[in-house]
Amino acid sequence: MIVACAGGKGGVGTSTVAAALADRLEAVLVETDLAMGRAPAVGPTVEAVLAGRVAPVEAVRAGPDRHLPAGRSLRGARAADLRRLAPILEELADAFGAVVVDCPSGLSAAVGAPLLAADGCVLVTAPDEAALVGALRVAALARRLDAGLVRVALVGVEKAAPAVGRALGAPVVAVPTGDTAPPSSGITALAEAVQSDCSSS
Amino acid sequence: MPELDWTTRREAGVTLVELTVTNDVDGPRRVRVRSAIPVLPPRSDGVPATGWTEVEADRVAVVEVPPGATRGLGYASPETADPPATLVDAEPPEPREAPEPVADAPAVEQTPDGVVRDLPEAGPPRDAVPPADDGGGEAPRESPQSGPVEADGGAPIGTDGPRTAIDPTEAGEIDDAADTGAGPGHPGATADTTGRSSQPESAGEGPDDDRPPSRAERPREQPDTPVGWTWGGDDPTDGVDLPPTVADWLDGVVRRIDLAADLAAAGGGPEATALVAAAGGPGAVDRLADRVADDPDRLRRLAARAEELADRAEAVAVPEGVARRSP
Repeated sequence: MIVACAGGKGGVGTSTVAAALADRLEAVLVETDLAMGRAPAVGPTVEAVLAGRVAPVEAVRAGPDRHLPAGRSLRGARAADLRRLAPILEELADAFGAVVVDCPSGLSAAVGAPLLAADGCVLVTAPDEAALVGALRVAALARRLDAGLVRVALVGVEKAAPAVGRALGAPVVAVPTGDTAPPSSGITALAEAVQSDCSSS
Repeated sequence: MPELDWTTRREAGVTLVELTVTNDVDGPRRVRVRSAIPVLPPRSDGVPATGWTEVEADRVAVVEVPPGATRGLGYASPETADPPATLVDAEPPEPREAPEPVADAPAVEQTPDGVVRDLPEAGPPRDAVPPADDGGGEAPRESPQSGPVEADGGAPIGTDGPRTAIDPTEAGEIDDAADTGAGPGHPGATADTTGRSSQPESAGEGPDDDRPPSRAERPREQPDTPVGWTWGGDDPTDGVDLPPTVADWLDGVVRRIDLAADLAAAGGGPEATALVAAAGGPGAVDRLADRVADDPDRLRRLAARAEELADRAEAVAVPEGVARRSP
């Protein structure tokens, strides 16, 4: 099972939700924000796997627990070939059961490639106009690439706002600020929805 | 029958061909054009552009032209011909289901090639990053900052942050560092100098601490500047076309050194805890310690071998004319 998490606009909490969801699903967390890794990678990076220099399963085993991070080298990013992402994610899903992809903001190939490969997509957004505009654009890209929208994670609110769900095309799950660690009900709801909607693929 | 027009020009040993196809009939036409010369199609991120993906072995490209419209097609070729291309045929396109209208969706083909070609490139926008060597043969550009920063022998290899993040008030002090003999060959001494120019006379006689500054002490990057870029800087392999495996290994070494230095600088406390967590936990840090312990020996052996090979390569020369003389 491969799930993509994307937000469109940066800073809404996509990475936080992706990490929490991966944790809850015991999935491998793969970052695709090439060259923009948030911490220096101790083990192999996703760029190295995309360049064909490290096998995917080996890379995950050699690195921090079930995490394939992005690196911080431009050189590495230029050698990475996102066209290889789908088979890599499938191999990881076969080996580990599930993969969650933490997509960067925007509509680049680093978002498109995971959406193309994913069985389903969780849109992450916040209750402000800029965030919703970003989410709408990613939703359109996800539909174009046939990535089923499973849920919208609305971060920073206590209760889901159905209007947001109607605008984006998927039911909304509220993820209150700071409430992503277990036993977060928002993350649990996302995990259950993803498992029920995506595992059949 | 649609009309084909062309212009060609020769540039840098290559012919650039610009074709236009004008459809003067009432319906759309799918026009096939055959090139008389070998085709180097335009590429986007290494993938041939839309329309060129259908170039068959016999150099045929396909372009769809609406009624009354003109479409352009361009390519390069090592050879020249006049005419460079001819019209093969023009058929009405096969009827296709109208795609579902999707608000604001970028026009992207639903394939791995399509995603890479039609969507913006992954990674930071090139404009956000100063010119740098990426080991791929990009010529390093002269920039006004490259002089002073090179002279800043204190910056560790793979220094963090783009040049724009350097505090301009340091510029005067960086120039002073040039007097200490810092220069392109200087990186070997970085381990002893104290990093950024707050101690410009640092090479050797700096103040108390003689360790490279941790990320926490370096000048703060601007909020939306990514942290921790690795590129040339004052790296002797700047401008050298290193094989990707070597370049990546060196990048890994730099990352380990930076991380180990940060952990050392953090001591105990919340910053250290955060660093350990970001590195992937205590197990990852143990592995890091092992690898950092191994790195110096491997690097020195590699350096010795590289020196030796450099000497040999310099001393040997292929005799002139030997290729022609042998039968």
